[in-house]
Amino acid sequence: MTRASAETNMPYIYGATTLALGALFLMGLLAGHQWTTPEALWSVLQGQGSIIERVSVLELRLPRNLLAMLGGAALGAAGAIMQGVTRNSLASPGLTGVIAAAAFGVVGTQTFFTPDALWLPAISLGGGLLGGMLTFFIAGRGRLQPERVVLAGIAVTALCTALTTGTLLISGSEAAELYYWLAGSLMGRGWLQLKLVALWLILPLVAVLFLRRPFRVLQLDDELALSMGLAVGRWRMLFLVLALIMAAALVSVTGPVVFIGLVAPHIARRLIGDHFEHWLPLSALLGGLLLLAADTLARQLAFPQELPVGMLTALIGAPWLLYLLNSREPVHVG
Amino acid sequence: MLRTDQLTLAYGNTDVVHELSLAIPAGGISCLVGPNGSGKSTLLKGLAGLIAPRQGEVLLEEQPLSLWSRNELALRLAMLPQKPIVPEGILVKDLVALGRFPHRKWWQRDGREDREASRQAMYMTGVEALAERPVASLSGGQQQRAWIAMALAQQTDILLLDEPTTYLDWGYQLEVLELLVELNQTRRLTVIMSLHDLNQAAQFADHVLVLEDGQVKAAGVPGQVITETLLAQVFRVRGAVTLNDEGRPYCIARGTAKGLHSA
Amino acid sequence: MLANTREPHKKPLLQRTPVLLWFGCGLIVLTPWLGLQFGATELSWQQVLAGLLGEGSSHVERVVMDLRLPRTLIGLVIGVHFALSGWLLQLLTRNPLAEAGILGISGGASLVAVAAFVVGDWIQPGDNPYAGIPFALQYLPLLSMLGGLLAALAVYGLSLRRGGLSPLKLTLTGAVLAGMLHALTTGSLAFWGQAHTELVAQWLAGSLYGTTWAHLEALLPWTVLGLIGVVILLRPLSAMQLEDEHARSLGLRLNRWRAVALVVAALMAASAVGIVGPVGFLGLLVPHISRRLAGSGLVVQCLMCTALGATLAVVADTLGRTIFAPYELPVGVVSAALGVPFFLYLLSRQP
Repeated sequence: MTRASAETNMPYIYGATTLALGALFLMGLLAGHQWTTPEALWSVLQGQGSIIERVSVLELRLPRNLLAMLGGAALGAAGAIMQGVTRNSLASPGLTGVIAAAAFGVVGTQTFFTPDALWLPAISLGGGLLGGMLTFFIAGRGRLQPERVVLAGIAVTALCTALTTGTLLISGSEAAELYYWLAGSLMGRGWLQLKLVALWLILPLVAVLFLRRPFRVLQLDDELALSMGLAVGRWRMLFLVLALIMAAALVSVTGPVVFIGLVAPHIARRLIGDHFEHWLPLSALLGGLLLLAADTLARQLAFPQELPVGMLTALIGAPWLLYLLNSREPVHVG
Repeated sequence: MLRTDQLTLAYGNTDVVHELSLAIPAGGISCLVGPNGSGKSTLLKGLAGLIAPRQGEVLLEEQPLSLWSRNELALRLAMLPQKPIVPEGILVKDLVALGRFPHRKWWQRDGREDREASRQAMYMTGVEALAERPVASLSGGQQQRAWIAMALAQQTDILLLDEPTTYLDWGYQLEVLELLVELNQTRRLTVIMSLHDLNQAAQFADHVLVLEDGQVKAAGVPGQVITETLLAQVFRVRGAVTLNDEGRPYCIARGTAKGLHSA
Repeated sequence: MLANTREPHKKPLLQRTPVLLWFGCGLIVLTPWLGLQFGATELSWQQVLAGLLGEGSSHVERVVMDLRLPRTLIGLVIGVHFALSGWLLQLLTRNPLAEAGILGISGGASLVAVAAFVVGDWIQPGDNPYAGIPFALQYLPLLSMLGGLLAALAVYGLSLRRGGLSPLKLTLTGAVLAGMLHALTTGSLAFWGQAHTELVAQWLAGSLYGTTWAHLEALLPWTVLGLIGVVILLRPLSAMQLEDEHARSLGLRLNRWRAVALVVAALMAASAVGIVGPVGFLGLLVPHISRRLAGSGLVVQCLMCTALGATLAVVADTLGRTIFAPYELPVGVVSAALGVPFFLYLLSRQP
């Protein structure tokens, strides 16, 4: 792809993605147990329409779709950040143990205490932070060789999964609920959940989009970045923490949803060619698109019941990843 | 002894060595030289039978390598890769003992013969006193000698080494090269190695092959092959080549040679 | 000839081979007694002895012969299975953080286990959601073992490349597949298996609860096969420690032996998972300890793995039975709880 063609492509790519996002969003508002007609939707949006329709659209589907979009964007951005900052194309909240650790944090606290729902994002964040720190510690404290990070992340994930499974035994009657939560789902997530995590998702996302230049420089060789005046250690830490906040916050309301943070940045990279400035925003857009699509499918595939969205992202994401692994040497970015 | 016939070696879809036909003289020290990317490593691996040729053949004792079994080949050729990975925690004596692998079937254990061969190998390379130490704790030169001991324990006629001196300090480089000369003379070991340093090749090799873009540009005795024209054409070096008191050429670089290459 | 004249490296006492071997034997002989003595009811060693010889009271005999002896023996055996499988995989993938979960074995076995329960529901439907259980439990060992093996096969197949098997590729493919299987398992359990959550949860945590002589009989053939496989692999494994080309230049048929190692590791892990469910930690931790103790000699490492694996499994199970008696903590949970801090300590010491 020559520079000129990539340049002219970007608006189309953004346009196409946004359009797809909008279309899915709309469909998500219409779809459900009882499909709402577009006219009914229009009247609801104008403040009229039957109570059932108003509740379905405004109380159930709207917040849910917003959450899916926002959460997916957060995951996509988090994945891109991790991949860029660690220069490791396999880094992602899932593969660095962050999601598993956050989930364990939630399951653990729910089992032994009964925290108020307001605390969940913070607990999840704490767990994810510990998990991420553990991974980087095991991988070699600052050296961050790509291979070691992935291997350490796999081990930490296994660890947290084992601890979670064990904890569930003690959960007694709550176990079934917690299992459902662990499968990852947006079912029943409404304005309450959205309000709970919205700030945790939006603020880091905006911050990261603002900080695109340091992000770009950080993707260069460490020494090169230092010589360009960037305090490499601190910026890397900042970005990782932002990524962590976004991923862990989402986990706190939806449960673990894997592979989006890994796949969205890869797709984005394919589309942008050389234009790295667009990688982050596009990853976020694509992440939102993916989660929204997965959730919509989850709602419709097993009608009238709902599949856990975590299952779908795994079913879609894993084969894609395996294909990626087979098509090139995975561990270095770019 | 070891020769190639119209050998083409490739990595993926790119040909690295093109229709090469050469012969390695038995009993001497042969050196492959050439710029990065000229195919030295690939050629060595091809000679060792580690890469299957896309076209052409490598022949050992007039039989194509593809007809030799892995084990039989290992009893004739030993190869030391560039920067070999040290198995974690391994001791020198265990590393050297690994060289005995092809001598026993997989259900057999090492016997007296094997232990004797290992001991001899360690003696000849001067690492016998280091036998109980972990390889990772040795100096660069000592480690390389331990690897050579392992290749020696394999008791082959031919030893191939991929850039055995590139990652060593100067003194250790010469240590290793002198060891190879001694082994060549006392054990009649045929040594084939790739070197980066032309002067080292000139000083230690009996036979030099110059590779460029997967083709042999020149081959022969150092004095004949290493000339100022070669320096300019293949290495883009403007230099002077003189003979030292032992009759071997040595090069002094004066600068880059511009304009003698088309692209 | 430049030679270094420093003194040869002397091993500390605990690392000398004969000491280690005696230590290992001691462990294997003494640990079962722990398993037999302790539990919901504490028996003295005289009672245990009497029970074994058939001279004790019928209660003691029942506890010893019907409950604890088979359970302890199975504990020893699965400990060996998991430890050796982990050891092989760590060597094979050159990844010290590898264990059977990495090949997707635990994932595949778990998914099949959940599926077995769900299918059991369909085959024997009824108002009673617990009616499906006999079907599941009957076929569970075999089915989940097959599930584990299929997953391993898939991982192997997917990581094959033109040249052969790359250790890193194997690890990554395994991780992705394991992640997918885990998500599918949790999802399936959440979606279809609501009635069986507690039972499946028990299984998923890795438990020796309810294991009988029949289970031991089912397991032993695999143990024998596995041990034979390990012995056969010892020599090729030493050459496999070198990088690919170097190993091949020694005459090793790398692809073939890698495949053999994978098969042996998969068989041992899958057969054990089939009986007790996934107990990942043993396979992860025991090889590390063995390497620390035994140094770089593969044979001694292997023996230590066997001894330590057997011991730790029984110790973990016994602890699980006694700490919160009469409630039982599954062996998987105890080994994870014990293992995590220890593992972190080990890792912090690594360069």
